[in-house]
Amino acid sequence: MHRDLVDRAKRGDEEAFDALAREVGDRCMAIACRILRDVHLAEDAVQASLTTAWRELRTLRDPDRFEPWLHRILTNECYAEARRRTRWSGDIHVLPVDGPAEAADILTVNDRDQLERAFRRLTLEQRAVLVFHHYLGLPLPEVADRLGIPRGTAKSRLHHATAALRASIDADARTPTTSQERLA
Amino acid sequence: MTARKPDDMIRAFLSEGQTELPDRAFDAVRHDIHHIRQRVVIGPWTQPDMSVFARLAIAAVAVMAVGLAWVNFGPTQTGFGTQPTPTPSPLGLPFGDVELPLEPGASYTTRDPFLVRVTFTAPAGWVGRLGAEFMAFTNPTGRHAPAYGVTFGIFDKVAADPCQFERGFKNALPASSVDALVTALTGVPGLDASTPIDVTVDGYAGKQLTLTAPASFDGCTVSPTGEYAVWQLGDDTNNPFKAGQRDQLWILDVDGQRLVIDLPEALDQSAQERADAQAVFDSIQIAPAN
Repeated sequence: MHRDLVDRAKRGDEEAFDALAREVGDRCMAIACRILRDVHLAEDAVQASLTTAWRELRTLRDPDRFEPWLHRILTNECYAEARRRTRWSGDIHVLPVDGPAEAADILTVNDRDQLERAFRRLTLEQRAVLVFHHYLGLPLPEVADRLGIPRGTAKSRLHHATAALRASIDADARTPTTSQERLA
Repeated sequence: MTARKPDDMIRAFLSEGQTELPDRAFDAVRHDIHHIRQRVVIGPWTQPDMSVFARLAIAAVAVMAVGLAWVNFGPTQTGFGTQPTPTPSPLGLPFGDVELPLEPGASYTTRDPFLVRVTFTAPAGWVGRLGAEFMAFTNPTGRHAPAYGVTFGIFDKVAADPCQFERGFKNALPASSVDALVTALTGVPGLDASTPIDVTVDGYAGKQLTLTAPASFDGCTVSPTGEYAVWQLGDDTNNPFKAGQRDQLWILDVDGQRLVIDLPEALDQSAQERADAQAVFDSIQIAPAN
């Protein structure tokens, strides 16, 4: 679907690249927000990745692989952005909760809190695998391909990240939950 | 709680959060790309429209060339006795748009189109990439060059003042002169430069110096992409420094081709990363590209 825009952008057409960015930008923002857990850092990472994509676009061999290629750049920008900013550890901007309604049926406030804290303890690389697998719904080989890592590494990261989150859920399950939290 | 599946809960957790990029970000990208030139790519393999037959033809020619070279110049069996164990040929550093994992302990070389052959041994967990004829690098996974790892660069353009990006870059000419580049780099305002000393690396003479960036870039007008650019590579790719970053540079004359080996030391670099970078440097072998 992007092929024509990618081809034109590779020839230096800024309008085409702008249109392309608007097609893929929201999805990139969603990914970056979930990896970084900070909307400002995520916005910076997406902006940087789109700029990098423009500069490096002629190195993209297959225009049909634009989005996976961009996602790899985006993930690297997320890592770099997180490590670049001191606010990463101090001034965290909590993500606004504006997800689908069914999420509210599954998660309590306490669940979210436990998962958020467990998620923040994961490495950025583990978070990326979780996001690509559970949020984008990609199979592990595709996750590994997009992140530029061996399949075994992707599998291992997913295993450890999932185990850590499950442990937080189990710990939560052992804690009595008030009816007020359930209703929230 | 126990009735709910953990994977469903993780998916629900990840489904929450912002999903829209604000218009100001699109506007900023649009503004930025207007001032950024796309990188020039070298090599027929970058042509997306190349047919399968053309690719196969190139591959076949390459295989035949290697075969002929082997027949003409390969080792010959001339007598009895044990054959010496062949030393494995270094692998070509991956060429392309993304850095790829390197095999730990294997030797890699900066093949064509890079203008000098630099061979090094890869540490565990490192990636590498050959970017163009003037840029190659290797770095720990997730720790990106040029702030981490080891970079091999060929460049002439040195910032007039990294704190005032709009002042542009000066050409350190002649392009083969080690002294010209040393003079240009030690004269960059804002950087703390050590006194250059004479060195020899794998038989090639040159100078070694250390550049340290200021602890803060406050008050600077950096590049549109937010970089404190100290020099620029051939396709106008900036080589930025992080605040407080200290780079050891070896500027060598490789049979008339000026080569810069850059070992950056970022403030957050671990001891292991530093040791790995030093090991890469210690393993370096250099030869002209011919």
